[in-house]
Amino acid sequence: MLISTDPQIWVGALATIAVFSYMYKDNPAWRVVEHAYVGLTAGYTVGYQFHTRIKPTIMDDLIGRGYWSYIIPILIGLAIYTRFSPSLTWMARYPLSLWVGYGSGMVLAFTVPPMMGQITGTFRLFNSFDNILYWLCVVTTLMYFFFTISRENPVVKWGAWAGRWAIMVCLGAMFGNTVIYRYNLLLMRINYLLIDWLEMGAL
Amino acid sequence: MRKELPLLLTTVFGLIVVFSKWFYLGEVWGLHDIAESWVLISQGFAVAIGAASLTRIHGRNIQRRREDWPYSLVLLVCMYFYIILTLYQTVEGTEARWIYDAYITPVGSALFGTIAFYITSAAYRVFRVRTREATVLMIFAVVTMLGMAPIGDVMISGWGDLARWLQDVPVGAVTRGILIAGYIGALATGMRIVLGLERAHLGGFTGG
Amino acid sequence: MERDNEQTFWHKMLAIDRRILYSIIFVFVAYIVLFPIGLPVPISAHTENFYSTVEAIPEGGIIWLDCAFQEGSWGELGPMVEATMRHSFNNNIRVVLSAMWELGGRMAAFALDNVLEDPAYEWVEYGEDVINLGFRPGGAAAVLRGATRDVYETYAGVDHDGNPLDDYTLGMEVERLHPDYVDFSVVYESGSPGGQDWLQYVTEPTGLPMGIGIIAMSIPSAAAFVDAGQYEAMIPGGTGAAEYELLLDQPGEALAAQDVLSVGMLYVTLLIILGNIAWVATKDD
Repeated sequence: MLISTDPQIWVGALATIAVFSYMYKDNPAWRVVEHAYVGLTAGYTVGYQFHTRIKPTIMDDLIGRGYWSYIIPILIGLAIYTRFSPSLTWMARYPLSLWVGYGSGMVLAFTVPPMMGQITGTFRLFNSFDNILYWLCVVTTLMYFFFTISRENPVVKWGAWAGRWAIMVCLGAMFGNTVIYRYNLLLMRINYLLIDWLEMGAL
Repeated sequence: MRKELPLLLTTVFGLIVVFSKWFYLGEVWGLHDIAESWVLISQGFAVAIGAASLTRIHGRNIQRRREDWPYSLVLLVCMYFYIILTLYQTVEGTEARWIYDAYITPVGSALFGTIAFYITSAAYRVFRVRTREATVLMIFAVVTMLGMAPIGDVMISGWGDLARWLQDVPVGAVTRGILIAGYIGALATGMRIVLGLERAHLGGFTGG
Repeated sequence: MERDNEQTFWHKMLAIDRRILYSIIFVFVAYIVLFPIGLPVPISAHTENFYSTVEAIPEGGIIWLDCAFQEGSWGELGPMVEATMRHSFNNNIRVVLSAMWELGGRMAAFALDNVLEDPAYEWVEYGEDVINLGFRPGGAAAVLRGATRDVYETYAGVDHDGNPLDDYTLGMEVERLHPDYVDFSVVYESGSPGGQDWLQYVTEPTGLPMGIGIIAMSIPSAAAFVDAGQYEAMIPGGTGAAEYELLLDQPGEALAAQDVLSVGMLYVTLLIILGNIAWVATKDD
């Protein structure tokens, strides 16, 4: 049996084994790997954002182009750190209000066309079993989530009842899909250990 | 002012985006682009909030010598080491990229990969035919699992077709119902936020 | 006495240590990785439709592929990107790669390297037949909206490796992410941002047709968009990728994974059945 001589693969393989070891039981190797992972990913985010957003804003936009108005969003962004000071924490509302307002605006502005596509796509000719079933599944699912009209109304009541069963079918299938996806991910890791690290053959 | 001004900001930024999309002048004046740059810049400068929170929590663990404090030390050392490294040489620098490829990528993937083990164990212990609903759920999970992998067709010819039909017709239709409900919910929430009726995002803070 | 023994057996089965279940998975998967069975893979209508959609792109046309995933989902989506690229090159269709996810740019580069390693594609010239624009920071909404107006400006005039787009004919030819310049687009999605963002910011405003390569977990939601005609075609999960490889007659990573999936699904099914038998046998106690 050959074994990889690449130190990068050794680090990855040993860390992968440490992650898998948690399934046997909690242990120090897993805890170290876990904490190092959280630390490194947090560090990566800061480094990445510094070079892609903070530095270009200061060097190119503020100093280079003289966009001095950008000082306002910079100050708004920095206000988030006031969360750590009880007397100033109210200032952290400013960045949140900006982001939530913008995000809501994006939802209102851009989700209508895709939604309409989904709605109009539901209206179809009742010329096949599939078409009828499709329409029934959409409508009964919506009825299940529909609380404006009382469930005492027989149409809503039976519609919601049927919707509940349709959702169960959907959840079952989604569980099946999830298992398939997760096994694919696991396969990748086992390939990494057997093929890349231990060089036990080729997939 | 501590609540009113943020509320006003929320409304103004929401309306700018809507106005720019649906009215010609909004696009001409470039209002959306201005709002977008403000949001992106402010988010960029707020990015160290995660690192700051971790420093606060784990710094206290170390300071007070709480149980497992050495792990907190590992976390902070790794974080600040990587911050300094990436600030110095960018995330595409040779050493920074080496660490990313050798450690962050495989550990991240391994964490996701372990879910296959848990999901299998859960299927064995939790998936019970206790109620009619649970039975239906279980049957369709099995039909999908075997049908979407080649083994279904090897066992019973046509099983794969049944599983794919399920995905397209009943399951696809229910998903559409859920999607439409989600869209309506998102639009209603967006409307409430822009109109200032929904204020949860401004809560959770004291001092105002 | 016999009854007691029977109950004891099922009680033991119910209380089986999870680590035994885990070990069996590991051994099964490892065994199949090393000794594949080669189960037949039937072709689904979705993959066939995707294949036909790419076939319909005129020779010399341009397809834009966006990698909205990172390494965790490579197993399902990576082979799809490679297969679409191979298919495009086979038909003399030029390829523009981009990424809504930061690490997607590297996934695109990795897929491209894998394809170009194949001697059959040594004629493919970077910059002329294919270009990788990679990822641009600023949020998917801003980048996609920007690209529909001006690709050069949005990508700051450089490709994934920082080389100037001015040096590449394809880089200069695709001025906008728009049907005037691009024939078809595909998003390979494992989460958000993904296909729905592309639909909102690219396809709905410009009319550029789109397809989707999707992880198995999200097939039903993508199917709803395919049904509505908002996505023109779909590659459904890793199995779809394997089918695509078969259609191209170029077996690869996805096809090899199908045996493991089959055995894994059979194992989970057997466990569900066994768990229920044990539960029924012991529930009166």
